[in-house]
Amino acid sequence: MITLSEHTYEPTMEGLAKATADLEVALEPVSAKERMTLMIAADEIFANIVRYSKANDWTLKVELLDAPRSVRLVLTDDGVPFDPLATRDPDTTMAVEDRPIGGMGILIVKKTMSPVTYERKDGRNVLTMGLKMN
Amino acid sequence: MEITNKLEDGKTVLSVVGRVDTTTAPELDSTLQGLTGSETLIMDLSGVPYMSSAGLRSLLTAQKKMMAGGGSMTVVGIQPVVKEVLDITGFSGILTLG
Repeated sequence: MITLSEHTYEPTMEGLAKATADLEVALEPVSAKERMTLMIAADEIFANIVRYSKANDWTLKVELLDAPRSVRLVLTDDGVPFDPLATRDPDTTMAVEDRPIGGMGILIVKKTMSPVTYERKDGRNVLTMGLKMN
Repeated sequence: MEITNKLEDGKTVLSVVGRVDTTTAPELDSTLQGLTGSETLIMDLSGVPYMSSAGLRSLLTAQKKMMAGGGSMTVVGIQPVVKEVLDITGFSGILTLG
């Protein structure tokens, strides 16, 4: 296992922008399609942390794993306990006029990343998202 | 992100270049806020490699505005990763894709 990057961020839009830039650099060894899939999933979780967690800080670790070759993103924050895997999926068949704005981010994470695990550990939310490389 | 607004044969063509995510979507939102809702809007996403749900929120807001204002919105130039996100969330079925 190789750690491609590991940083701590402030729970602000500036912190989010910095994490996005760092992740893009860390994922340079990864194919374009897989990099974009990871960037999307990460953005969904970044946004949740910055907007809703009330965390003092949050961290992102990017790991490259062998057998199977995959990328793992480990996100932690010291905010309010929140298990995204325990949320109910939104109704994706609703008509446009009835659709709530938003609520799709966690669904995207669940459908594109595997495995996804959550735990509350030492006062922090720890979310791990994997993506197999082709 | 770069957004170009062009009037072409009576249609408003918004061309977006760059990723649409939490960082960049506010810029798209502010451009969309400048629309009246009565336009025939062509949203050209051929320069958008990927979009997170922040971008979907922008598209849904625009779609609702166009419906309310009597205009229309057609989304064209959808790249594969954007299409995947539209399919997962059911947005392929609620947007007019060209």
